Amino acid sequence: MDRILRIDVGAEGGPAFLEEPLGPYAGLGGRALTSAIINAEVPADCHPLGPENKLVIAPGLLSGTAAASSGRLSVGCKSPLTGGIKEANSGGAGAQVLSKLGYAAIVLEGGRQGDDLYRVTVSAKGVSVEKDNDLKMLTNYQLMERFFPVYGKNGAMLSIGTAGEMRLANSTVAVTDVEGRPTRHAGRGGVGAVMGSKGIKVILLDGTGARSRQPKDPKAFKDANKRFAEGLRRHPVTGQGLPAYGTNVLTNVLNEAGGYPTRNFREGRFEDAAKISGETQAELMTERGGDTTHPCSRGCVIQCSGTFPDKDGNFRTKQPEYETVWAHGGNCGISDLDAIAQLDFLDDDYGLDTIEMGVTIGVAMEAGVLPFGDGAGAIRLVHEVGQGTPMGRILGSGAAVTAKAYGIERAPVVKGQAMPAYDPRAVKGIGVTYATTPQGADHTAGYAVTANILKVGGDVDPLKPAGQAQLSRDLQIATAAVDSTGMCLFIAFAVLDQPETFQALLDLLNSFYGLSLTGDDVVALGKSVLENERDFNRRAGFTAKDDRLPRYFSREKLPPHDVVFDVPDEELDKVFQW
Amino acid sequence: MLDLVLRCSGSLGWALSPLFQQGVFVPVTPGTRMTDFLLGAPGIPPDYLTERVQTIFLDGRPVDDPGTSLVGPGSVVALSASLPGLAGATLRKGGTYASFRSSISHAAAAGEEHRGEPGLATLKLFNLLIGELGPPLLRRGVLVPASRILDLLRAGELEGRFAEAEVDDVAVKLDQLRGRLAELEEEPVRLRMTNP
Repeated sequence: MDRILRIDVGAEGGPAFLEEPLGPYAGLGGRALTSAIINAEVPADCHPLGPENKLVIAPGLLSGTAAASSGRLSVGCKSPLTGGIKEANSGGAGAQVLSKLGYAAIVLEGGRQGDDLYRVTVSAKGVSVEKDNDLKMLTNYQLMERFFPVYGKNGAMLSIGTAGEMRLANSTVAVTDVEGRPTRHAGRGGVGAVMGSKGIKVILLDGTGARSRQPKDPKAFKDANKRFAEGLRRHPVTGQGLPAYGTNVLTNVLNEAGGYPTRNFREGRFEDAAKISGETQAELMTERGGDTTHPCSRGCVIQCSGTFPDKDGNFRTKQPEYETVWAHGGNCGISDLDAIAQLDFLDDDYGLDTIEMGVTIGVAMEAGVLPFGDGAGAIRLVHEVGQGTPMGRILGSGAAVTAKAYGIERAPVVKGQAMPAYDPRAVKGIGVTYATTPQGADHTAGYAVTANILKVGGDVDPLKPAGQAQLSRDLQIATAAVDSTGMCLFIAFAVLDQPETFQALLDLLNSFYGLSLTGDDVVALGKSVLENERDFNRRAGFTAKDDRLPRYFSREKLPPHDVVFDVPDEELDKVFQW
Repeated sequence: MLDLVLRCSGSLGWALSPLFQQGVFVPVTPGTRMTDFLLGAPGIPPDYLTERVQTIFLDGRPVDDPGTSLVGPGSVVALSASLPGLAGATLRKGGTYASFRSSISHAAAAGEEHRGEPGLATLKLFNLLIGELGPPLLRRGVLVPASRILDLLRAGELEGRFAEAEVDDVAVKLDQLRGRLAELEEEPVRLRMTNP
């Protein structure tokens, strides 16, 4: 992983590429690398779809090695949705193949000339960038059909569906999974639109001849990896709960807690939650011959993904995640798992972020465009987005724009990005993260619950209400560090409970790179990532006023517990004081 | 109270989620400590309660100390195994991030009074606990509103699921059973399910 591939789409005579060493970015990977490049090279006040913006695609520091669960890919840019810095993170096969081919990053830059579309192919033999206008308005699954022979055996495809091609602010970069299906996404913030603005429709990664990256100390690495994988298998979350139910295991519990945003965040409990819970979903999938324990990338020992069959037992979509089931389910009053599965498939096919799409439909329902609970209507709307009708273009621009178009106050967004599946009035600490992360409302920005292990800020008494800001900060630091390694964030629970598993992670990094990192170094890495991101956002015009939830979260009580978001602004402003 | 026994020919799996996600009734006297409630009628082993049950709700509020929380008639108790991510860490009993949800946490009120007649509390089970605690609970017997058992008997393929049904020790056919349950509506039925 010793070079960066830069593709200048505005070069004279058509897109041109060059390869260069990492230079000032040496030692960085994943989110650390994407945020460093964006902060250094992209003018913070540029238009996200203009020539000055860049799209940086970077595997993590341990991607492409034998390290368990290390297949995460970071995609960074200035976000068309938030106007701030963005790192969208994806599973799938992309990170491993790209890193095995020797690339620390692909950077798409420059100003597109005309409206031609291009296909990029990267292999051990070299790189090609070819004009391919036959790809216009193909969906991600149609691209799979066309290109599977190229990448299917041991490669990956990164692509934009029709949404990204139309440069909709809610559009993703899809990454193929172990079966070659475009089911994983760098989803949040409209990164697909930036790829579309560069005229790049698809990046094919042919892994033929690419080898696993080799550690400096193979014996120590093997030992650390064994301990790390055992730690993941041993923990009830990573070894049992997630493999059995996937992330949708959270539906019943969030619902019971009264923190499950229902019908556009009007209430915290959905009366039909049991119909769409992870337990019900797993049983339905098993009855139909689906697979509930399945890795999205090779080498993952957690295997929280799955395959969802239709009523006839044929593949319908990947196992919908908690966020998808919530966004298209409870948030829209829909309790039909088959309708939700269809929506999941359409999101994958058109290249849409399910959180943003589901929240947008919830806003549309609030606006009276269709009633809450109308699954067929929701499916029709997503088709409109994918096909680019005038209504579709409004909806495809995200929840905030849709609310504005319909004169609705209740758009649950921060920095223009839709909130995920945890109501911040019930779980206020998550609300602190929604408000303050540079990424916009994002539950994964403060997700890595390793902070106590890292002793960031010292031990915290769990039952004292003080210190929400400190905890959120610690989580954001830890998450930024994990996002830079290529590790899946779901390792964090095992690491929280099992200090020896955290040590095994450090040992993986140290034995691979010949370093002597400690927990303090991991903290320093996380802080530097956040400092880059905050600096960019400040120069893009963001102030403390943008680190707030919409006012109505402080006004409207959330049933059943009748709580509001009442974390003081002064507390929010303390999050990044270190 | 109607006493229903379903002798199943195979696994009880088909019944577990529908019954326990929405909850079954458990007899309780007012002011019973949560720990005693769970070790009592449901018969959950103490070390299982400590190690395996990572999240406990009482009336929708996360419980940090089951030793001091009190349960009574009308209480809704929900149990879960470990959960992923920040939500899991936040909701778990006594977890590091409990302060994130302090405004919805269950806090035992000082001087709280629990009087009155014994009655029924609701016990819900989620995720891994359904498969682990559900079958022994069903073999011992649980109380379920008749309408919910009727829903269970209506949904899905029942052919071959159970060999016999007995109401108050008398064998009944499925149609007869459905009729009896429909008449009872929301009244609790004592349900036992056995398998070979």
